[in-house]
Amino acid sequence: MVRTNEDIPHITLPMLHVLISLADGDKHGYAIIKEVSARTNGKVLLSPGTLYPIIRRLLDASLIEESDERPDPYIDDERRRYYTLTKRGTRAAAAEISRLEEVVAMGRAKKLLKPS
Amino acid sequence: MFNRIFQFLLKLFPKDFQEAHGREMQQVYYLQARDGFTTRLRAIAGMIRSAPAEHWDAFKQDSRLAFRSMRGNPGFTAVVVVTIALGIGANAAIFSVFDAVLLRQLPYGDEGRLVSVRLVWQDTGFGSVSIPEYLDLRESRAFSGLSAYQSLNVNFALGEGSPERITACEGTEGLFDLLGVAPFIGRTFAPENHQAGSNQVLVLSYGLWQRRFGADPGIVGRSFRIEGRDYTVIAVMPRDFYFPDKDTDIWIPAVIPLRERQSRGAHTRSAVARLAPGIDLPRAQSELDVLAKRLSADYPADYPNDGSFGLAAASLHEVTVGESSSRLVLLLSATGFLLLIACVNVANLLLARNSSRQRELAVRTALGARNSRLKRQLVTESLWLAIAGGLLGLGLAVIGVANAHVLGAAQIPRLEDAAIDLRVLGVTAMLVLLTSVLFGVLPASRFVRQDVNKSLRSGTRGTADRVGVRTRRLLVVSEIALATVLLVGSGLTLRSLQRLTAVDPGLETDKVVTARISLAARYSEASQRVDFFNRLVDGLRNRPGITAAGAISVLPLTGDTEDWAFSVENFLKANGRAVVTEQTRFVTGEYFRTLGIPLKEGRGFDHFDGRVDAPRVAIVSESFAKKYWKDSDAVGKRLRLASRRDDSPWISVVGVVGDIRHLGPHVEQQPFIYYPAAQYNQSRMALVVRSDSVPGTVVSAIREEVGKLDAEQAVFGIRTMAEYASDSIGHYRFTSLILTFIGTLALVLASVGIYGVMAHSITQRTHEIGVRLALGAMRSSIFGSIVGQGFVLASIGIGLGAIGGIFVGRSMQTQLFDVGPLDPIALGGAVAVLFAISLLASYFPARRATRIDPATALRME
Repeated sequence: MVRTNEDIPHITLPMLHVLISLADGDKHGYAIIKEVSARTNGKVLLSPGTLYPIIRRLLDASLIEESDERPDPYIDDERRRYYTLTKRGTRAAAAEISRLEEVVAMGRAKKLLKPS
Repeated sequence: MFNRIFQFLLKLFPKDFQEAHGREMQQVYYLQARDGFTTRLRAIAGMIRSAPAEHWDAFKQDSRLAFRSMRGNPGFTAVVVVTIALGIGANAAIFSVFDAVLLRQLPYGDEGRLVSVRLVWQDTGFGSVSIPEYLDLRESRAFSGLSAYQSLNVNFALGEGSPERITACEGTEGLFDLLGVAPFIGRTFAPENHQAGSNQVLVLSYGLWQRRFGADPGIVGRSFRIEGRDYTVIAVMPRDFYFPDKDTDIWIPAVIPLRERQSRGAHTRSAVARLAPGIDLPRAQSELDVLAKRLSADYPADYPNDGSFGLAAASLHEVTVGESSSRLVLLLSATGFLLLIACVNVANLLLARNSSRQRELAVRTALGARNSRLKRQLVTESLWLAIAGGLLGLGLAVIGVANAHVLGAAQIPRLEDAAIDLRVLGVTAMLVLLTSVLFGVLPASRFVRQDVNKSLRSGTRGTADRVGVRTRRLLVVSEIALATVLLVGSGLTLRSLQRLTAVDPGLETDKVVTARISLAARYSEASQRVDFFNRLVDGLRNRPGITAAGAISVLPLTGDTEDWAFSVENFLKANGRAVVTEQTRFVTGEYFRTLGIPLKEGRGFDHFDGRVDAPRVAIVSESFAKKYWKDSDAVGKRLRLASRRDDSPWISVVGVVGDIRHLGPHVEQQPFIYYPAAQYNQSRMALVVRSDSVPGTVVSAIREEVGKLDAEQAVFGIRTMAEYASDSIGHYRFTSLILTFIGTLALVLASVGIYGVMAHSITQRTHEIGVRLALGAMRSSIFGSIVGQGFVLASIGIGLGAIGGIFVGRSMQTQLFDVGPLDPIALGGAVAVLFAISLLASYFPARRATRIDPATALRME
C-alpha cells in the first residue's frame, strides 16, 4: 500500500518525545517511558494508558515498527516488544522538529524570548 | 487493588487494541508500579482518559473505510439504503400515528381516572343521558364529579361582520374542575353562571383565540353575539386542551330549563365523570348497576324493568380512542414484518457482497489486521448504512404522515396529532440500531468464522462459501414466508372492502348534495320553522335540474343517531314492558325519493302531513314493521310517544319504507320510524337534494333559495352523500390501503432477495456450470435445475407463510367484514402472486446460466 502524506497523523508533543526516544536505538515500552521522563526531568510522564495509544497511532502511520532484532537473549525478556523508528518516522520527526524550530525563531524575532 | 482496577480498565479498550498491546501494558504497569502511589494513580487516570479516545479513533477510522467502500459501490449502497428506508419509514410513520392516537394521554389532569358514563339499551346499544338522569348520576358515590355536555353548532358574530359557524360545547356545572385543567387566561365557570337569568359567559379555545383574535391578551371581558345573545369572554384554555374533541371552539355553561329537568326521555347529552378517591372502575360499575335497577323500579314508564336497560362506565381514553386501537396494532405489526423483511434482505445482500469481498478482507488479515478489527469495520459499515436508511426513511415518514389525512382516515380519532416528533425520532433511532444489529452482525460473524487461508487459496469460489449459501437460502425462505403472511393479510382486507362495497345500504348516495341548516333564535315559533323548511324544499324542488329535494333531522351514514322512546298499541314485550326505543327521524319533503328509499306499503308523507295541526302520522321501516307487527299489515297500526301523561296523541302508521344501513354497509340495519318534521318543531335539519347537475351548481342553488327566504341564515356542512358513504367505510379503506402498500413493498423486497440469491449462486457456479456444459450437459437441464432450485425455496417459504397467514387472518377477524381467515381468494391469490414472482426472479439468472460459454468459464481460473 502506498502511503501519502495525508496518512501522517498530527504529531503531538508526547508523540514527538516517543519518536525522539527511539532515535538512538530500539526500545521497549518501559524503556521509552523511563527515557522520556529522564530526558525531560520528569516534565513528561507517560503511563501505559497514555503510551500505548501513542504507539498504536505511530504503528498505524508506519512511523515506527516492531523490531525484528532482539537484544542478547541473556538480558531479554521475551514478553517485551521492541520498537524501532522507520525512515518515514525519522522524516516525520525531523519535519516536526524543524517546524518547531521555525516557531521558536519567530518567537525570538518578536522578542518573546531572549536569545540564549 | 490498583492491579485489579488496571485489569478492569484494560477491558474497556477496543478488543483489537487489547489483543495488540494488553500484555505489554500490564507488564509496563507492573514495572512502573514500583515507583509508588502517585505513579499508580497517574497510570489509572491515563487509562480512564485513553479508553474512550481509542474507541472514538477506531470508530472514525472504520467510518472512513465504510464511507470509502459505500462510495466505491454506489449501486449496492443505494439498494441497501432504500431497502432500510422503506422498512424504517413505514415503521416511523405508523408509530407516529399509533403514538398520537393510542399512547399519548388526553390533555386532562390525571386522565386515567376520567370515565365516560353512558346508558345501555339492549336494543340500540349505548345511549346519551337526559338531564334527570344526569342529576341522578351526580348523586352517585362512585364519582367525585360528573358533568353532562353537548356539542352545538352556533352562529358566532364578531362585530358587524357576517356570523361564523363554530362548534360550542355546552357543559353543566363543574366540567373544567373535573377535567382537572386550569385556563390559560382568566377563570372558568362559577356555579352562578349555570343559574337561569345570570350573565352569559363563554370560554375560548386557544385555537379560536389565536385565529380570530390574534392572541389578544385583553380578550377577557369582551362580549360577542352568539345566536343573537351577548356573551362575555371569561377565559382562554391552554394550547393543548380540547374537549370533547378538537373541533370545539368555545365552551358555554349549560343553564338547564325547567322543562328539561322533567323530561327523562330526552337523551341529548354525554356524561363525563371522575372516579371518587378509592373507587376503581369495577366498583363504579357496580354502583351504576344498583342505580340502574333503582331507576327501572322508580320510573316504569321510562325504563324497562327486565334488565335490558343499564348504565355503563368506561375509561374516557378507551372511549375516545375507540376501536381504532386493534386496527393500529395490526398496521404496526405489519410494518414490523416489513422491517424484518428489509433486514433479512439487507443481511442477504451483505452476505453476498462479503463473500465477493472475501479476498480483499483476507488480504487485509494477512497484512496484520486483526479479526476483531475487521468485524468492527463490517459492523460500523452496517451502522452507517442503517443511519443513512433511517434518515431517508424519516423523510418518507414525514411525507407519509403529512398525507395520511388524504387516505380517508377521517374515522381515526386524534390522527391529526400524528407528527414526527422527538418520541418518534427516539423510536426510529432505536430501530436503526436494532436493524444494523439484525442485518449487520450475522454477515460479519459469518465472515470472520471463515478460514482466511482457504479463502485466499480458493479465490472467489471458496468451499467455505457453501455454508454462506445455505444461510442465504434460509434467509430467502424466511423472507418469502414473511411476504406471504403480509400478502394474505392485505388480501383479506381487500376482500373485505370488496364485500363492503357489494352490500346494498338501502339508499342511493350518488348525485345527492347535503347541507345543514340550523335556524337562528329569531325563529321562535314552531310555525315559523315549519314554514321555512317547507318553503325551502318547495323552492328547491321547482328549480330546473333538481329532481328531488327533502330534509331530515339526522343524516344517514354520518355516524349520528337519534332515538326516541314510545309505546305501541297492544304491544307488550314478553316481560310486560310497554316502552321501547328505536331510531327516530323527522323528515320534510321528498326525503325518501331523494335518497331512493323505496316505499313498500301504504303512502309517503304529503303536504297535509306537513302542517302543524294535521293528525299525527308515521312511516316505519320494514324491519320495524316486522319487529312489532310480525306478518300483519303495519299500515293503520298506532303508537304513541313515551310520556308520563297518558294523553299524548296516538300516531298512525301510514306507510312502510325499505330498510337502510344508516351507520354504513358494515353495520346491520336497525328498525326506523320517521315522523313529519312539521309536527315536532325541528330547528336543525339537513337538506338532501338530488340533481343531475354538478354539485357546485346545486350548492349555489341551495344558497340562493335560502337567501331568498332569509339573507342572514347560514348554511353549513355542505357535502355530497357519496362522501359520507365513502367515509362510513373510511377505516376499512385506510387499513386496506396501507396493508396493500406494505404487502407490495414486501413483495418487491422478497423478489429482490430471491433474485439476489439465485444470481449470486450462478456467479459462484460459473466455473462448475462451464465444466458441465463442456462435458455435454444440456442447457435446458441446467436451466431447469436452477429454476427448480428457486421453486423449492419459494415452495417452502410460501407454505410456511400460508400457515402463518391463516393465524394472522384469525387474529384480524375484528378488522374484516364477512371474510374468514381461510378465504380461498385471499390465500390463493397471495400464494399465486408469490409463486409467479419467485419463478420470475429465478428465471433471469437461469437464462443467464444457459448462456455461459464453457470456454470462457473454464479460462476464468
